[in-house]
This record gives sequence, C-alpha cells and structure tokens, in this order.
Amino acid sequence: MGANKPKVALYWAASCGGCDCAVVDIGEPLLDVASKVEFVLWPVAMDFKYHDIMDMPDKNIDLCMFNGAVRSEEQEEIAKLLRQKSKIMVAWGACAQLGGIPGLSNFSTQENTMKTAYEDVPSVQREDKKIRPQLKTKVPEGELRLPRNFEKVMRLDQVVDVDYYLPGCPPTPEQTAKFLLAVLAGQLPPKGATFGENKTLCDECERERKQKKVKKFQRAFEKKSDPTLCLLDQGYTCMGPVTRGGCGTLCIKANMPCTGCYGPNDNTEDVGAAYISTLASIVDSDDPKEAKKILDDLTDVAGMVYRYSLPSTMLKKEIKPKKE
Amino acid sequence: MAKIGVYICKCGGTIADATRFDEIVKAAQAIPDTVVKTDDLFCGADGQDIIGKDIKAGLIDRFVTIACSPKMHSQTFGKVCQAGGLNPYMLHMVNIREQGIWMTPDPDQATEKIIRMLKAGVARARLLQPLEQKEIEINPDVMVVGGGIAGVEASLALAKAGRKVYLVEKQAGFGGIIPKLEHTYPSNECAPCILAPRAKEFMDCESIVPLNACTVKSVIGFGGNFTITLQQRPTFVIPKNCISCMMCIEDCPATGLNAYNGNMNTRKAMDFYFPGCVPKAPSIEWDMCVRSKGENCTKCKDACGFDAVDLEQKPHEVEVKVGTVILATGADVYDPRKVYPGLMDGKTEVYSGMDFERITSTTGPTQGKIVKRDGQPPKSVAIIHCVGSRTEKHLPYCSGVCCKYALKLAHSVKHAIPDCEVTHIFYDLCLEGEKFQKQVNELKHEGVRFWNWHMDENGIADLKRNGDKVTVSGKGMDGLASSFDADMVVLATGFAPSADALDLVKQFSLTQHGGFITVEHEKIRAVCSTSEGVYLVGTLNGPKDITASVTEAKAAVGEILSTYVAGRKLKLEPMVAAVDPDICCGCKTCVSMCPYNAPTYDEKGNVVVVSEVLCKGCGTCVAACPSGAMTSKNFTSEQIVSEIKGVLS
Amino acid sequence: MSSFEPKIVAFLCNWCSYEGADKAGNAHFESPYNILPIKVMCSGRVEPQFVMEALRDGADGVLILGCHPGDCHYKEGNYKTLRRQILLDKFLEEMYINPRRVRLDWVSAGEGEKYSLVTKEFTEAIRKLGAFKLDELKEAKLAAR
Repeated sequence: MGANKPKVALYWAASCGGCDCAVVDIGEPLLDVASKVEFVLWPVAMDFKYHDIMDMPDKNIDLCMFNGAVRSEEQEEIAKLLRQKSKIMVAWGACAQLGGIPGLSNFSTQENTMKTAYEDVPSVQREDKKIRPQLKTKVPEGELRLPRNFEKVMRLDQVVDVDYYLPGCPPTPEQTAKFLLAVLAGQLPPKGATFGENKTLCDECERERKQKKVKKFQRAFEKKSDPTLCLLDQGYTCMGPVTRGGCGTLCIKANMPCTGCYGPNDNTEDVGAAYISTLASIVDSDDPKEAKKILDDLTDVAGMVYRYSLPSTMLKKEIKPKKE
Repeated sequence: MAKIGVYICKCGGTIADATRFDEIVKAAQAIPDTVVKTDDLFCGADGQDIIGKDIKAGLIDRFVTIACSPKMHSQTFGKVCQAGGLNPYMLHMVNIREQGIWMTPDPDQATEKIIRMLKAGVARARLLQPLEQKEIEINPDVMVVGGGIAGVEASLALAKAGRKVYLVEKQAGFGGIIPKLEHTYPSNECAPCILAPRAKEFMDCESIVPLNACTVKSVIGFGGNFTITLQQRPTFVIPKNCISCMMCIEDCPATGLNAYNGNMNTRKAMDFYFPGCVPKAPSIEWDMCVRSKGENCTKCKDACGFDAVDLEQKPHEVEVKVGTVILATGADVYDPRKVYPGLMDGKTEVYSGMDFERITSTTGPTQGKIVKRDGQPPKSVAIIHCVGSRTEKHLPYCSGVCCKYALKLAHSVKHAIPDCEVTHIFYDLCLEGEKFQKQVNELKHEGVRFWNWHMDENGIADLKRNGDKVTVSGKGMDGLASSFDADMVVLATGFAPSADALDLVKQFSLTQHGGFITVEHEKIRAVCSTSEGVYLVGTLNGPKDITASVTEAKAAVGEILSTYVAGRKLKLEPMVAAVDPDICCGCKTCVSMCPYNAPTYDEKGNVVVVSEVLCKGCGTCVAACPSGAMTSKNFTSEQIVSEIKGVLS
Repeated sequence: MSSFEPKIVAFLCNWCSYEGADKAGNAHFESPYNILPIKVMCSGRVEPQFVMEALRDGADGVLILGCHPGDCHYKEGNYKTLRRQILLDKFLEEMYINPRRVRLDWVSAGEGEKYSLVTKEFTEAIRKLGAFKLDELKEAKLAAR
C-alpha cells in the first residue's frame, strides 16, 4: 500500500444501495481508480469498523462520498463523524443531495410510517398489532439500542457542511468516475458546487420539440409515444425541463419520461414550484372548466414533483446544520 | 458609496396627519445605506429640487418615493431622474396614499402597513438595474392590403399626410363590395358614386402605388421595419396603354359564367372585372381563357392597336419594404347555398342578398331592372332575415348589417315596382337609430309587410319550389303555422370570415377567433392587432358596415401617424423578457406562451432569443420557464421576492 | 385577547387591479391594512414560487388580482394565471396547506368598489382560517386515510 495514496471513505445512510452499485458499474476503470486510492470505509463492500474512523486524526480522510439521506441518530452521528475526519465531504446521489426517495416519508409522520410498516401492511399477521421496534432492549449481555428515527428525513447538508454535490439517482457511472478522477487530479469546482451540467435536460435531449400545448396528460403506460418527439409535447409529464442535465437522457432514450432524479439546476430554487408553473402554463385551454379537466388527470402532483426532493421543498422550516 | 434615497412625502400634510409619521421616518432610517428625507410636497418644485441635488451630489444612485401612486407622478419623478442624469429605471415609487392612507382610516393600521410597504420598496430599490431604452429607425411607408373602401380611404388619408402607400388588391379591379351595391343604407346614396371619385384620386395620387392582382406571399420583420413579398398575378393587360375601346373583348372567343354577378350572366375571358372598374382596363380571367388549356390564341392582342395586351406576362414576386401595414381585406358574404342547398340551382327564384343587389344594380346582369329569370317583374318578393345567422349550424352571430340592407332592397323593389307585394320575414330586427326606424315606418306605410316568425337553429323560414313560385313557410310567434307564395325570395345573409384572413394570420403572426382576426383591446385599441405595426380595419376583424369600416380605417391611420412618426425613432419598451443562453435548455415552453411571438427558437444553438422589439414585458413566459433561464427586466424574481420578504418583515 | 391580524400579500397587475386599487383609494373605499400590495405588470408574471415564498416568509394568505378573462392587457396572461392556480390549489392541499389561503380574482381598472369588497372578504376569510402554519392539514389528512 502506497504511503501517500488519498484516503477515500464511502458511506451509505438511508439508501437503497444504488449509488454503491453505480460505483461498481464503473467497470474496468474502477480498477484504475482503486489502485490510486486507499479505501478506509465502505460498509457495503469492505469490513471496516466505526472505531477505525473514530481513531483517526481529524481531516485524515481526503474524500468522503456520503450517499443516502439522514433519518436516524446513527446516520446523523456518522455524518458528523465523517465530516470531522474528512477534508472533502460530498453529498453523493439524490438522497444525500436532496433527500431522495426516502424523503417522501416527510409526507407522513414517524408514527404513521411505523403504523403502516408494523400494522397496516397485509403481510403482518399478529393479534397484537401494536408492536413497534424498541429503542432499548435488555438482554442478558447488557442493553441493546436501536438508533432513533427523526420525525423528518433530512438532506446531508442539513446536518453537516457539504463541499460538493454529485447529483443523480444514482449518479451515472460515467459521472461518478469523472468526479473521482477530477478529485484525484485536484481539479475541484468552487466549494458548494453541484458537479455536472447546469443546463436542464432538454439541452441534451435528441428528441424534436415542436410546441408545448397539451390537451391531455397521460402516463407512459396509457399510450404509445412517438420516440422521435418531445415527451412533454406529447402530454407525458417528463420533468426534463426542470431537471439538471448530465445523465445523457438515459430514461428518455428508453421511452420513459424523466422523473427528475438529478434535481433542479442552480437557477431554480424549488423544482416543484417551477414544474407546476410550466405544466399548468402549457395546458391548451383558456376555459377554466376544460383546463381543470385536463389538469385533473395529474394525480399526486406534489409526489411527482418532489419524488427525489421533498426535504428540499420551500414549504418547510429551514433546518441548518448546528455549528459545533 | 452611493446610497438609496428614501423620500417620504407629507403630501401637503395629508399623509403626516393620517399616520404616526415619525415612526415611519424612524423605520426608514433604521434601514442600512439609506438617505432619508421628508418634505411637504416632493412633486413640487422645492421637493424635486431636494432629490435633484442628492442625485447631482452623487449621494444616491437610486431612490424610492414614499408618496402617491405611480399613476399620479411617475412622469414627474422620471423627469427628476433625467434632469439629474440618473437612469429613470433606478426609481421605485411606493404608493402609500391611494393604497395607504386613503383606504386605511385608522392611523395605527396605516402606519404599520406603510412601514411594511416602505421596507419592501427599499429592498426592491436595492436590486434595481439601469435599463437602456433602445430606439430603432422606422420606415414611414405603409402597405394597405385590401382595395375596398376602407383600404382606399386609409390610403388617401395617409397620402394626405405625406406618406408613401402601397395599396395591394387581390382582384384585377379595386373597390371591394361597394361597386357591387347600387345604393347604400340608410340614406340610399349611390354606392359607386362614393367610390368613383376616391378611386380617381388614388389612381392619380403620386404617393400611392396601386398593386392590383396582388396578394401577400410572405412577411419578415417587425413593426417599423417589414419586408413583404407580394405575389403578382398576370392580368395580361397594361392599363396605362389601354383606352377602353373594348376591341379585345369583342374578339375574345371564350365565354363563361360571371361570378361577379352570381353567375347570373356571362363574361368573356378578356373582360372588365366590372363595368367602371379601376384601373380602367379589362383583364384576362385565366381559367376561362383558352390559352390556359394550351391553345395559342392571340385574338385579344391582335385586336389591340395600343400595345395594351401583353400575353407574355408571368406571375412574379414583388418585394416591398414598409414600416406599418393596414389589413383591410374584408369578409365574405355568407353563401346561402349552405342553408338552402337544393334551391340555389340557377332556376328557382331564390337569390342571395348580394345577388339581388346585383340585380338592382345598373352595372348588373339586368342593368338594374328588377326582373325574374323569365324577364318579368315579380308580383311578390319575400325577404328572409337571419339566413345562416345566429345559429351554431352556420354563423353563430348577428352581423348587424343584413336587416338594414333588407330594408334597402325592399325600398328598391317598391320604388321600381310600386304594386309589388313585399314581405319581410324576421325574428328580430336589428335597426338602431332614427333613420332606420323612419324607413320601417315608410315601408309599412307603402304596404310592405313585416311578419315576425319563430326562429330555431335552422332559421326562420322553410322554402320550397312551387312551380315558378316559391312557398315560404314557418311558424308565427303565436305558434301557428304560416305560409305564402312569393315570385322571388331574397335571403339576407351576414358576413362570414374570408379564407384570406387565415393566410394573413399566419403571415403576420396574428390571432383569430372564429375566423375573424382579433384586435388587441376591443375598446381602446380596436384597430390594433396583437402584432406591433399591423392594423386591422373593416370586416376583417368582425362584421360591420361601410361607416364603421371607414371610421376604423381613419383610426388606423391616426394610430400610424401618431406612433410611427416619420423621422422619429421608435422607442422600445425596456422592461422586457430576456433569456440567458448559458442556462436556456431550448424546451420552447416560452415560445408557446407568447401571443406576440417575441421568443424565437434558434435551432442551431438550441436556445430561445426574445425580440426586444416584439416583447411587451408581461412576464408570463418568465413565470412559465422551467429552468430559471428567463428574466423579466425590472421585474426579476429576485426583485419581487425581495418585496415579498420586505412586506412580511 | 387581541384578535388575530392576518398578513396577506396581494399581487396586483399594473393595468387592471392596481388601477382598481387606486380607484378604491381615490373614492376612499376602505380596504383592510392586512393587505400588502406588490405590483406586477401582468398577473401572468405571478408564479407559484412567489406564492410559496409568501407563505414561508409569514403570510397567512395570498391574493392575486388580475384583469377579467378576455380583457388582459397582454391578451392571455391571466389565462395562464388561472391554469396555474388550478394546479397550485391541488399542490398546496397535497402539501397540507389549505388552498383557500390563496385566491385568484379579477378586478378591472374601474372596479374600486370590488377591490374594497374582495380585500375585505378575503381578510375575514383568512382571519377565520387562523394563522398559517406549515403542515396545518397534515394531522387531519393522515387520520382520514
């Protein structure tokens, strides 16, 4: 092991594991990257312990890639620990950057979530339906503790100071590789930057855009789309126009309308506000009754626009990381 | 460092008396980087002076007035800016009089509201940017499309004001509907006599360029600077060489039905568009001419001793540069064949209103004698109102002219054939004003019957051929069936939008509703289209009569002369939308938003550019932009958000 | 106990409702001091982001007043506002915010009296709804599921 190899930590909090898979999906170039770095933490792939990190001096880790949202005490604790021990802290992927899919939990409450999971789902077969996970349990060996879930799911930058954001659900292997290599080469964007394109997805999309006047909204399964034309023109709720580019329009190339996983660009404060303005504006009717009928086809608007970013909505009390 | 001037006006004491004025001043002083001053009357000379001195001293580089409505004194304070060399867009006016003390009688409440508005106003002023009011050169020449009475009147008025006018007419002869009429209502004036002297005037006028047999092919440019390509159709005659000897017409071998007279008589392929038409020369109706079928006939050319026939003429394009355009292409009279399909067969004595006009006209197929197809005068004439009008099946509106011309035709019949029994079958009568009422009374006195029948979506009367008469039947207002026979039936139809209008809509980027081109504001900009520099007059924008059409023509001329002043540059609205090409993704949402076609898509760069000339600054596109690429100058999101935060702080 | 005084941000369009408000003032028709006006050129400039900004910065209600449909000075701006309002209502409710806190109405340049009535009516309606709190409908909506 080379003495001066940069130390890299990869951590997953409230995560699906997709970001880690994306790293592995880098394929052969990953071997090249791996040979240039020293992994010090990667729970999904390697056997390091928290104590290994705790024992390090501060700022010992050169790069920490943190994926997943923060919703439990443990995740918050480790986020703070890694921040303390790392020179560069990266919010890696949509969950860390915006809150991600786990963030949709904020439409509910902690109690409701527990009730759904432990009582309401059809697979629960118990007489005593009031069972809940216990934070403390005494066992002969001592006391076992479970980390407490917070009432709200948070983004990484709501608990620690973040240096860079790598967007995507997951960030594409190409973008991840590009980022890692940029860090290794010392070519860093200004602090606080989101790595990748600032123009939204239509800039990369090869489909033809004719005109935005929609008489009917529909879902991908309801009608076969014309693969050469803009999906939003055709009435599919493609979030390309409000979504940061850089993914190469993977979903759109597969005939699936963009769901906005790269989040908004730097010039959009709230992706929900932006998208509902666009969607309503392009409805092709000046008659309020007809317009309502067309817009009634959109169900769960808030869920659609905030699929990856509910913890980032304007309509919340702002949570900033506590200064230690 | 220059600060924000905050000038709190006492408004002659009224504002001071209605509030806890000192608190307001203190609140302003508590805001960083402000220069706070008060005066009894900032709009007065002394008050203006205070502001002017602060500007000249470099103390402030922007200011806020805490006073009356901008609708009151924006010009006054704008001048103060200009006098001091300050960009007039570095001023923000906070309205605490009309929208403050005058609607909030409680001084405590008024004070609180004013302080909030003051904070918001200063926050916004902090973000103001100087805006440049650009100017463009304008072309003073005008194109008038449509050579009917409205177009002719507009051209003459413009020529009188010293403008050069290109008068474009689709047909071989100018005049539009007027030459088809014998009389005009309500005073029964001679119709061709209205047009004839005007026609001579414009043909003789040096600054009017008459372009007959021409249509608009394409348009590029914008208000002040249009380049219009016209398609010139060959007439095969050179009018300035023609002396109207008519030898070419005599020798022409081809004859066909004359559509000008509702196919009630014939014309030669080489013939006058109508007797007395201007330019005073015949022309070849190409579809009738044997040359269109491949024959090499030159009879007309051979007959002409004055080199007026040129069979080599080809369709060609004419490019014209003008600053403004008046569209006066009229409308079509609704074809009653659509309402009574079986009856308009050229044999039954049923006529459209326009065809009956031609019969009454001295230039028409019967030289003005009101006779049936057999040449005999009718003993009875029925005039059916509302044919094809006021029903979703045909025209869903009233044209406001048909009842009036129906009276006129009744008068013509009674005048020519006093014993003829004339019956009006109507549902409502649309006849405002004294003159029409007088006509009704006179006609009734002469024995003309006015029968009020019931109307449904098919109309008022059913018609059926009955030998050489026509049976008119329907339901009276009492519900009882009614029916009678008439020798001739006249169908009063209204105005339908012409297909030409749809071409113009595309070419000039206009909007239409039901086929009529929409005006910018129905009350105060009723002759302006939604495209700057393009005006809509006459039946093109909705059914109306000659008086209204000519009035609109003059109104359009007024708009042009006052807005596009020759020699003066056109000031552009600086509070427009703008696109940052580094952010724009080319989604084209804004393009679909704009009724003025201000945003255009650049295919090569995949970005949108907003025309500063066409943009009116409403900001609708900015609100719809999904990626934050669009900005509204002087109404940026940051500025508005700062006001929101300000009023709530 | 003092009664609750709502704060209502009102967006007024330059050509119609702003003039209407001035007209109300000129005629000394009263309008509640709770109404905090912000001028825009056209109601079409008002985007959902502004409404959301107002709510999160302390407004209890948002009023958008534009030209009557068909009369928009810029032809069609108010139609877009109308459509955005339809979707915004749905969105707000899904975000557990009472959509009745945001109202779109039409006031022309001559309708001083209407301005006074609409602002009074809306202020009372918001007063009855009480102070705005984020997630105000959450408990009730989750219980109803």
